[in-house]
Amino acid sequence: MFKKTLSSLSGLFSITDEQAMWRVQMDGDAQAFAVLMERWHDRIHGLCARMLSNVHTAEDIAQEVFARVFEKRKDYDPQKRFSTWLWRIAVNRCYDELRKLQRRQEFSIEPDEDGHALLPEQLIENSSPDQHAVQNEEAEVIRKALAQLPDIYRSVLVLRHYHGLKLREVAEVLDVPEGTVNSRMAEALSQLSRLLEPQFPNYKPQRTVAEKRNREPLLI
Amino acid sequence: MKHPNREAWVPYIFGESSPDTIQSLNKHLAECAECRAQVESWRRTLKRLDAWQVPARPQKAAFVAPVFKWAIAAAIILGIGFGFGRIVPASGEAKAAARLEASIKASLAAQMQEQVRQGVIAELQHQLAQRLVAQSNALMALETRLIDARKADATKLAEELTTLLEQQHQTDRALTEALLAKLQDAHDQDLFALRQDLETVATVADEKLVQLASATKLTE
Repeated sequence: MFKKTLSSLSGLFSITDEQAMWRVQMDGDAQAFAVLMERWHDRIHGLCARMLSNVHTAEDIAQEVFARVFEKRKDYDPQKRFSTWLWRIAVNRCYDELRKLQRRQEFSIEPDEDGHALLPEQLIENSSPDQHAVQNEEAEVIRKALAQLPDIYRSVLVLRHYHGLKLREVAEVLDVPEGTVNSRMAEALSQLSRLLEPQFPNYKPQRTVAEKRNREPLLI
Repeated sequence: MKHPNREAWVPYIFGESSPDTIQSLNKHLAECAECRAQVESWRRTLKRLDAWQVPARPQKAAFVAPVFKWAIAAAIILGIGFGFGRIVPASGEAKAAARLEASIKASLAAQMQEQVRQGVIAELQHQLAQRLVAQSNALMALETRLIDARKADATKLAEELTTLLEQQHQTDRALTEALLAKLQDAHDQDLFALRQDLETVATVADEKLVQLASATKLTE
């Protein structure tokens, strides 16, 4: 019986995301949906944590993302990649949550010159339960700096740097031209550099051997 | 000096530029300290981002750990047995003792293997059951949310239907009233025409009677 259970599970675990999602779409297959959750939960949770700057809220939002996936299963286009569709739902849910937080009375934050509201400062400061989760002081500095970026800049950075999506894939997820992704990324990196450089005045990046070998000689 | 667009450096630092573009940008970097500083600053920033890692879920580690625990225990016990066998001197009595020990060891090893195997199976079953329960709970939570959403949809539909029926009812009532008014008009007109006809008949009858009386008198 145990072997039988294992073999049926292993059969499910070997299917692609698109095949699993197709089963969910056609039959509401709970096992296929559980496989997708198992595969994607950590990544979606990571995205939400970095977008919201709060690991615990991210857990609830990640659950809601999967609830929305199941709810909107009929909208999924099997010709397209499941990951793109899932990332898009997750990013949009994070945007919604950020807007909700910003609408609350206690967070009266003025939008920046581009009209993008910043993450409430109190959210950043009051997330003490997360503070033990970060490894050290530097991690905390990074978390706070990321939280200060406008959400449209933070999303391109998080998707590309932390989740390894290509710039073209980021553009697909956000449904914007690739040039827009590049300009948002340039602005994100410039703003983040301005925030971080003063925090690490004596920072000298340690280059790996691979970097020394691959990088051009002038980039020291 | 003409600098490349700031956006052009984005695919470059993420290693997504074409070889030709990389060559031309490398050439520019060799001559332009300003762009070199910007690219280096962005690279330092990206490197710093790695300092903040979102903690992964503990379940995965918990799933693997008991299997390793049993494997390590078995390896230690077998290792001690093997070492003991190597240390004991090989005299005649010792050889007999060694044979006895070997048979005991083989029996013990078989028992231990069986215990380890059963332990591993039990642990795997336990972990699998836990995982299935967790996934089942997650699915139940999803189902509850979906039921709520469907209830909300049903209420909304019922409200829309009631409004629609009310509108239809009002339209029907207006139509019926208009029809009744039209029938009343037609009835009034019929009555009027009938009265006129009757009056004409009466007048004609009077005239005929007068003529008949005159004719009777003349005959007499």
